[in-house]
Amino acid sequence: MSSPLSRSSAARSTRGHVTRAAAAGRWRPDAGWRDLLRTGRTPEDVLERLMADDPLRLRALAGQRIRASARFVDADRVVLRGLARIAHAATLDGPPRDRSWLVAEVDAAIDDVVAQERAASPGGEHDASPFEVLARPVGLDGRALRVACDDFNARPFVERIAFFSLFVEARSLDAAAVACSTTPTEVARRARRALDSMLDAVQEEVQR
Amino acid sequence: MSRSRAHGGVTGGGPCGGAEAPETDRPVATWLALLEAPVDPVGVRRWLDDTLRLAATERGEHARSAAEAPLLVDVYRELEAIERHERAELLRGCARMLARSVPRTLGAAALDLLAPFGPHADRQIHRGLACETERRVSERLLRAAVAPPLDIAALDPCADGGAEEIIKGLARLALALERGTGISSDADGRLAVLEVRLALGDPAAALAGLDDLADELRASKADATVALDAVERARAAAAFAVGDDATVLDLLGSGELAFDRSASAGAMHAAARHRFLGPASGAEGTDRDDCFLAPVGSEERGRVARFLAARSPRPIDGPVDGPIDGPGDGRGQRA
Repeated sequence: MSSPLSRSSAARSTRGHVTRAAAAGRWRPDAGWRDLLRTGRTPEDVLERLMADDPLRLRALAGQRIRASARFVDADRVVLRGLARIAHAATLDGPPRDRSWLVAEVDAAIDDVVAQERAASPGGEHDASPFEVLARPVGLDGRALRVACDDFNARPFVERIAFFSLFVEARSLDAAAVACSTTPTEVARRARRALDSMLDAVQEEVQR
Repeated sequence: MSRSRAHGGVTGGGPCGGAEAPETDRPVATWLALLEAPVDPVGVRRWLDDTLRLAATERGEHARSAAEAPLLVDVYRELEAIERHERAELLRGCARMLARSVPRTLGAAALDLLAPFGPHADRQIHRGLACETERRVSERLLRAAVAPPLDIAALDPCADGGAEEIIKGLARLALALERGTGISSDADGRLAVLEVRLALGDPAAALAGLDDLADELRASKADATVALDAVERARAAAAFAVGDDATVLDLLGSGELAFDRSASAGAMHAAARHRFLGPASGAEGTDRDDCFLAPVGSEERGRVARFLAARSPRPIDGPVDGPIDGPGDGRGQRA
C-alpha cells in the first residue's frame, strides 16, 4: 500500500497531471464532481455520495487505467480501493484541483491491489476470486492463473505493455512496435521474457 | 501518569481544551516540541485517542459496524485498511523522528544513512499530523469501539517515561493498529520496534532481533519478500552501527541498495561515530576526513556523500552526486 506521503506526492506531481490527464482523455466525471469532495466531512459522508450512481465514473476510469498500466487485476477491487482512497484523501486534503488527481488516486489503487495480491499467500483469502471464475471456463487452474498474473504484474512495464499489445490487444508485431516505440524484434523479446517468467512461476508453484 | 489520566478513558471522550495545555496534553506537547511540529497538542491528543480506539478494535469491526450492504462493507473495509495503515505510517514517522532528535546514537546515524529524514520528509509528517488531527471523529469507529477486545494497556504512546518510552509506545501502537492482533506477532511491527531500538543506541540487540526476524520470515511459507527486504535493509543499518563491515557489504551487495562495494563501510562507521558519538561523549571520535562520493545514479551513495559533506570541516566543492573512482576505502577521493 502506498503511504500517505507517496499518495500526496503522486497526486500532486505536475508532470503526472499532464500525462495522466492526457491518458484518461476519454473519461469524464459528472459535472460538479468536486463539490462531492468538499473537506470537513467524514469519509463515510463522501463515500455515500460517491457510491450513488458512480458520479466520478470510476468504473470507466479504472478500466482505462488498468489497460494503460498493462496489468491483470480485478477491476472491482480497484474500484473499491479507489473509492476508499478518494474518500479518505478528500477528507484530509479537500477537493482536488482537477481531474488528474482522481486519475492519480486510481493509479495508486491499482498499485495497492497489485501489492496486496503479491503480499497475500497463494492460499490466502483472495485465492479463488476472480481467477477461478476466469480460469474454469477455459479449462485452466485458478491458482496457476493467479500465480501467473501476480508474476506478470511484477514484470517491468516495457515487458507488460509488449505482452499486452501482442496477446491481449492482439496487435500485429509492427503495430505493437509502433505502440511501444521500439523495434518489432525488441517487442517480441520483451513479450517473450514476460511469458517465460510467468511459465517459470507457474512451474515453481506446481513443484512446491 | 496513569492511563486513565492520560486518556480520559479509552472509549470515554477526548481531552480538554484551553489556553494552557492541560496535564493530559503535556506529554503530547512534549513530543511535539521534540518533533518541532507546529501542531495543536489537543488535536493530536484527540487523534491519538481515536487511534487507540481503532487499535483496540478487532480488524473488520470498524467496517461491519455500519453493514447495510455487502458492497458498503467491502468499501468500508478498504477504508479501514487505509486508515489503519496511514495512521500507523504517521506514528512510525513520528517515532523515527523522535529517535533521531533525542539521543544522538550510532544506530540513529545508520538509519539516517539508509532511510533519512530530511526537512522535506519532516514537513510532510508535520503536515500529516495537522491534517489528521483536523478530521472529525468517525461515528463508525465509535460504534465499533464499544467493547474493545484487545488489551491496550501497553500501548500508551504518551506515558511519562521519557523519550524512549514515548518512542516505544508510538511504535507499539503503530503495530497493533495496522494488524489488529497481538503486539509481538507481526513482522512489520516488530521491525518498527527494532528500528527504534537501533536508533536508541542498542544496535547489538537490534541486530540480534533482526536476525531472528529474518530467519522466521525465510522459514515462513507465506511470500515474505517485501517484509524481508525491509528487514534486510534494517539489518544492514544495524550491522553498520556495530561496525560489522563484512555483513554490511554482503547485505548491500546482494540487495536493492546500491552502495558500491568500493565504498568503505568502515568509513561510514567512523564518520557516523564521529558525528554522533564523538561530540556527545568526548570519545570515540575520529580526526579523519572520511569522504567518498556517489557513483552516477546511486541515490544511497549520494545520501552518504551529503551526510559526510555535512560533517566535513571543510566545504566540498562540486556536485555530491557526481561519480567517483576511488580506492577501496573511498577516503579523500574525488572525481
